Amino acid sequence: MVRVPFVKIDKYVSDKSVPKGSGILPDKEVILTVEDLIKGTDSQLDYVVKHISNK
Amino acid sequence: MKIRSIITIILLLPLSVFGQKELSNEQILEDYTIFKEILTVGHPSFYEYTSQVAWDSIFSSFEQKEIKGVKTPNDLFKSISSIAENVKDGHLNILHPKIDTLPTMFPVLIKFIGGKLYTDTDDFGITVGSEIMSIDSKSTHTILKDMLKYAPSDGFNLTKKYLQIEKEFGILHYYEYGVKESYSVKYTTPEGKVKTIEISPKSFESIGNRYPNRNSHFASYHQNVNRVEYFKNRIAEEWPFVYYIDSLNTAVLTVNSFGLDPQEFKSKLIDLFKEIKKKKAKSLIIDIRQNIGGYRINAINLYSFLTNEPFKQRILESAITNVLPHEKYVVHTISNYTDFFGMYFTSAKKEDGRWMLTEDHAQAEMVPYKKTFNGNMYVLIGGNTFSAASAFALSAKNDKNITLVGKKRVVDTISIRLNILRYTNYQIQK
Repeated sequence: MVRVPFVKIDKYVSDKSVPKGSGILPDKEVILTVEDLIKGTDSQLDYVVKHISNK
Repeated sequence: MKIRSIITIILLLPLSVFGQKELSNEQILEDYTIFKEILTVGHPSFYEYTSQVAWDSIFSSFEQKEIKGVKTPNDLFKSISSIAENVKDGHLNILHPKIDTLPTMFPVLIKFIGGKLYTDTDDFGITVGSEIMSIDSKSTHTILKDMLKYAPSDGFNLTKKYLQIEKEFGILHYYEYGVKESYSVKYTTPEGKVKTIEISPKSFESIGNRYPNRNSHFASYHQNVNRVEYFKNRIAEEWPFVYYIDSLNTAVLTVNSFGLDPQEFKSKLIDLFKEIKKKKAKSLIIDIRQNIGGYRINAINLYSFLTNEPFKQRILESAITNVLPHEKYVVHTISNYTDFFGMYFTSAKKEDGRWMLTEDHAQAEMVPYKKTFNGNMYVLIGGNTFSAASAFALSAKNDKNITLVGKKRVVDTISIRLNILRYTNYQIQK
């Protein structure tokens, strides 16, 4: 079985510098490390929590 | 009250028969030809990332060489998946022929980090965080390369592919390499020791039962020792929910799905934002990392609680056909495509064989809610964030008052020149 789209949608983006096909780039990139995986640390949420607490 | 209808179209390749009996050359060619014509006649962005010259080469290569190696429905599924990958469209899905009985499959739950495979649980005596080096002497690099075709994504977005592969690793391994009596797994422990272990395949149900135990669900970070309960209440919960970090005056609103009844979804949001206001939260974190999409109106309504300005999401919708190619093979649609097209594109202009609509039918909905959140706002995005969820993420990205946090290039490809493609979940306002 095949599911096929028939309508193309161009979306409004304010940042015109994003290269075609790149996806939405986060304002702050936070990756999961192997250490985060082993410890079970939610590194992205943890980043925001620390950011707020340091404000 | 505006009525919204959803159109979903699924095309059935008629000879993709169940099971693994051999197909005749004529059957294979007929299926392939239908698939090719549907794409070339109807897909609205067929040449977006792959040129006509490149497509000619891809089709020619299959027709002259690769087709000779196709014998079974599974072979055809693999070939068509490989061809479809070149469209680079996350909404173009090739579904495996129905399997009467699910086989046992590779059972280790894995996580992609930096393009490498790591164990996500402590099962089978392998320590969590061990790097899988090879399975049956096939390197993980090769395995990943072989599996990428089964995970469609928009543009050059690999993160969505990785997320799908790690979620569906066992079944994708079966699609690619077939049933195995056991798997020889070579891995490196976090301490650097290289080991090899023989692992028996497990049932789909058995693998599913262990799924909540993934370390990457972060139950321990949230001080929850019962991983199954945590999974049920946090990861698998469809309805939006909120929890608070009282020490930081912060609310965390998790929205795992936009595929919920729009009226009930909005009512839920109204209640949650009332509660957040009552708690006097100064910061709001919206977690959509598990959200694979749903109804666009739900994404619009969520964003309307965060902005004080009218907003926009789409600048153009277009199609290259007003009739479905090979319509007799359509097996599921809620609306008649021709009727839908006539209504939806009624004000469209036609240029160079393409109907172009610059008016967003949902524009009237894109206004702030009467009481919006005005504190610090953060949105967490992830590889699962797709479709309507990516529309919400893009609205947040366009908003200077919101900080988007996540892994680079994690979401559905969208930019002013990138085009989200979809045939499903149209919300048509009559």
